[in-house]
Amino acid sequence: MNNASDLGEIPRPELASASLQRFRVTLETNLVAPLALIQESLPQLEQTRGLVVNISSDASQGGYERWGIYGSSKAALDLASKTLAAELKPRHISVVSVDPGDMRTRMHQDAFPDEDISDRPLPEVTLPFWAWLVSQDPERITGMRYQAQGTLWEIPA
Amino acid sequence: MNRSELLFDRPTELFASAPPEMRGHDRDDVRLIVSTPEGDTHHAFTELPWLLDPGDLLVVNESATLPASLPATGRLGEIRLYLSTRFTDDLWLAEPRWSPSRPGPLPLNINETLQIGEAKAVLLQQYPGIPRLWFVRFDTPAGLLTAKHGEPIHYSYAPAYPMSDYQTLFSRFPGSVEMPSAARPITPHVRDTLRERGIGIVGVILHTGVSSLEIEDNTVEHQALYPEVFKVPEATANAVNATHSRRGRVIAVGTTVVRALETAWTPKGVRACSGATGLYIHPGTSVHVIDGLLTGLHDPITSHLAMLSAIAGLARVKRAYTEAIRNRYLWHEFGDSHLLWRQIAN
Repeated sequence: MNNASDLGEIPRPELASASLQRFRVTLETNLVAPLALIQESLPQLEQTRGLVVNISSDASQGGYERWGIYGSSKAALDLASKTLAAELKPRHISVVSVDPGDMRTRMHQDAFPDEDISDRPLPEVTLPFWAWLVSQDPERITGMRYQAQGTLWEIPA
Repeated sequence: MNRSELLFDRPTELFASAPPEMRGHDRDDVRLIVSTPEGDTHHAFTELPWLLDPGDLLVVNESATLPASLPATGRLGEIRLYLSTRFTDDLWLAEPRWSPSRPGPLPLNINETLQIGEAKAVLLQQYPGIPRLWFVRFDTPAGLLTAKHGEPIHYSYAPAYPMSDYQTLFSRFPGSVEMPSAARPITPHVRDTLRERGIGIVGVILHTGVSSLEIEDNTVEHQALYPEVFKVPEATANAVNATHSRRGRVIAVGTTVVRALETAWTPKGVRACSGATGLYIHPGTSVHVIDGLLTGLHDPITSHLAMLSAIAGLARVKRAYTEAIRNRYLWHEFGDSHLLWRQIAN
């Protein structure tokens, strides 16, 4: 499970004026590091026919203003997940990406420094999704992108 | 919508405590109230084929009912464990209860163990937002436990009857913990008459969890609902779309079918789809697929009533329920039936 992520500059900048050097740090953490960990783990994953979960975000699809740094790193991670799923299928290694949805976490507070985020649910709200996900046959769901707080967790035909 | 809007008074003697075939002649020996925008009319259930038109399509739930009530012992003494939702053979969502008539939540702790016969069940964690439900890990596949120790889930108004009383004509795929009861009055005779009239019958699968209690949140739309495992097969999606393109009507047999079909809806029509659905249909949501709902009569302040209000509007649901109570209709899984049309009168 690749969960660790970097939000980038705070306050979140517009892309037009974002620090490129700081952007590279975000890409390194959110995109390159997960791939490095997956490459490192391939022998074990192959042995266990394991499932890789890359944590994504709705910012990866949103195009929301001032979310371009974090969002584009997560969009790239989504595509890496989907590509890895296709490439690793013959080796019976499965990959999904999961958007956990808005939650009351430190990173969410960092993203909204002046906002009261107490209306967001605690991370435990995603528990049913994880129980469902780990109960699935990984090879049937590989390549999927899930919203942990969404209304449908689909198994492709 | 405030939860109090889904409140209504209904005498407890209108709870059906036994299957209709024990009160009368057969499963179809129940009454049917039909609600259109123009009013409510009273029928025998056996008139159903003539209340529909050739070209209409009934969609039934093919999930079969498990003996999902397990006897359990532990620190609190003898309790019941009502299975609700299967994740794997040994990981379930379940509802510990004092007894069939006395719900929880029970004062249980994380990692507490329950004994079911020779098997052990560990309480892992409460369900977020629904504290009476627990994630439970069994050391034995739950299917073996239900086969050996299980009885049908039942509540205070009815004793446990033989398992066959909790199956419908369409029950094929075991997985529900409570009977998807809307199809219960459909006897082979009613089914054959429907077919002779040119009314189609197709299936979806949705494995029901334990009944929701009253909505607790003051705002109906905010109530937490847990997801259910479902499947809309391709043949069924095609039949639904073909019916609509011929201007026929799609009638869901049961609220479970509404949940499955509406989950599978896209702007281009219904698609084949399976997985877990947490879709909550309430007055703030749109209903796209179904033109009518054949169902039972539901309890006050439940998510079922929120769904009925989404289909026909709260005023029409309340009008029908007032009419049903005045005419002594019977409630719950062994009770009478209700055909609720979305807009079009027959």
